[in-house]
Amino acid sequence: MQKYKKLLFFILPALSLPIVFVNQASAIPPFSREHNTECTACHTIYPELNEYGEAFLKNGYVWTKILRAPKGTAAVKPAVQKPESKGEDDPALLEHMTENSFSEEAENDAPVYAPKRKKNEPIWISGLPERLPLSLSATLNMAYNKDAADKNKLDFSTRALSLLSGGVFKDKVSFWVKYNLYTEGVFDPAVSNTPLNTVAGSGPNAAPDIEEVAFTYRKAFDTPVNIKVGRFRPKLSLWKKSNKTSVSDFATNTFQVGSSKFTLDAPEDAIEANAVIGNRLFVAAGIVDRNGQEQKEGYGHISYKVGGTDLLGKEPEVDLDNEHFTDYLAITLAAYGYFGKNSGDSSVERNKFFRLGGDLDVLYKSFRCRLAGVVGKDDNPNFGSKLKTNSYVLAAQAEYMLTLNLIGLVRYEYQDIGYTGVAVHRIIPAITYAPIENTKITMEYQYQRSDNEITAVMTDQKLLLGLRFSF
Amino acid sequence: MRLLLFLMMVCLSATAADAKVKVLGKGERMRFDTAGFPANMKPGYDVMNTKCKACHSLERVVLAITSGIAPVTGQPFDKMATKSYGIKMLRKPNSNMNRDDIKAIIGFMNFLLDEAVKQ
Repeated sequence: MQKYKKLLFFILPALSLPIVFVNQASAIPPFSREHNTECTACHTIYPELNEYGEAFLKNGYVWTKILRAPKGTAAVKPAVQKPESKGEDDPALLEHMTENSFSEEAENDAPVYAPKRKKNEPIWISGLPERLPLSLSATLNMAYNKDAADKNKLDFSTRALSLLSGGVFKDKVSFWVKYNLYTEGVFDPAVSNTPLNTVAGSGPNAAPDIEEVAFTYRKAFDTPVNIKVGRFRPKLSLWKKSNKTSVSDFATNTFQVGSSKFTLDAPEDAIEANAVIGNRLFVAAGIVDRNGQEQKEGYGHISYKVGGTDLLGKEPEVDLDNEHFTDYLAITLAAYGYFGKNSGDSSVERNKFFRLGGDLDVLYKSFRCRLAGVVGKDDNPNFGSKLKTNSYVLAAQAEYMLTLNLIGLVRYEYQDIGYTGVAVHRIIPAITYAPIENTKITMEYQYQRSDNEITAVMTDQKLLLGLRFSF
Repeated sequence: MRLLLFLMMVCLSATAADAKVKVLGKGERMRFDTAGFPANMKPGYDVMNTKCKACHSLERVVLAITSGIAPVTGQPFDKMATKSYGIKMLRKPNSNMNRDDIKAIIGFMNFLLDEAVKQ
């Protein structure tokens, strides 16, 4: 008995630690640790990006730096004063900041804003991040469907456990890695808008794999062009699949045609050149190398942002004495296209296809509206039947940030994959809550109506509860 | 004579101290010592102390002012930056800051930058 008491003496305090420290848990994965900032610097609710997150992403995970004081302005160099010595100051931290303060080695008397060498010189010279940039992200889902085909009305699932890494070496080369340690279920938007466990061959740990490994040579040869190589999601839509607060993805990003595995957001082995031009225009173009075929595939993206923070993270000019609604308005327009040719896993038949799409993102204070549309054409999507297929997919989402950690949204989707003869309409209201910045809980309802040309109209309803956390 | 010199030095150092940006505390408790601040800067400090602290500690403001570098972005923290951060917070959803709050905070940070340069 004494032994158990001793054991409890150690276990109880250990169990209470998360309760004691829960309020101090504010930061998550590699970028948060590297830049010593909270998740909401770049996210509304993780993983949805805000304007600064978009700028950070487009600039290869670097805060754009001013290398020189703007012409006609004198750079301020505050003389740093050590804090009063009262035994409770933090001179080490201030010294660290001072180490990274201004250097006055400019060619033309203008002070240069450039960090001096850090203390850990070998690490700095080698270009290594001072902290190992690794994190884990886990996704758990619960789905309730009273009409579930397999009678499993209430389904709890561990959807994924992923290893994430990202960072930058000396502001020249940035990298992003996502490795799935465990995934469950297969996402098939033709069947459902949530991953299913019942699809054959999609049992537990169906696809442990490298999802993304990309390296970007930033500002290549002192031009605004970034060159990205590796396996990554080609820049097509304004938003990556993960850039959301809902459980389900935008149908425009994930719809498939026939047996073709292609989706707009599928990771591909590719090389891409992209650049921010004139602070508000973003262009990207790339080629994709698909295994087993000589011909490469190509894609391009162009987007322009009006109002709001520009694509380098600079704030707009605002008159602080006079209010105007444009102070809070930001509109981003995008157009993109993908031209490709693919085949099935064991088929020699080829499917030539293209997708053309357009996006609109409107932000006004706490309100955000996203519109997305894609048209596509496949000449042999089932790799054999030569069934030419046109596809039309639309998505419109309105979301409102009720508080800093609570977002409500409603989305409408329309999906018409020609040869199926079925037009699918979905209405998806959802509410997302972040009790801690690195944890997201989403409750989502899906109503789906399938208008079939041959059989009767079919409806389907689901309730989803998603939990995602990263650390 | 020695006493006179000593008193002169004390007086001179006291005058210089009035212009200093003094810092108290460490980590999340790091803050400015408001003892030497002019009365017209108090409203700016009060707004900062309530509204900025709703989301983050004053540590990053102290570090920015005292080093001249914004601790998160590594960019220069000067008077252009204070206005830029003010606009950022004005536009940030649910920041709970209006134009008057922003102007008061910018004025206060610019005052601190001027004081830091004097040192």
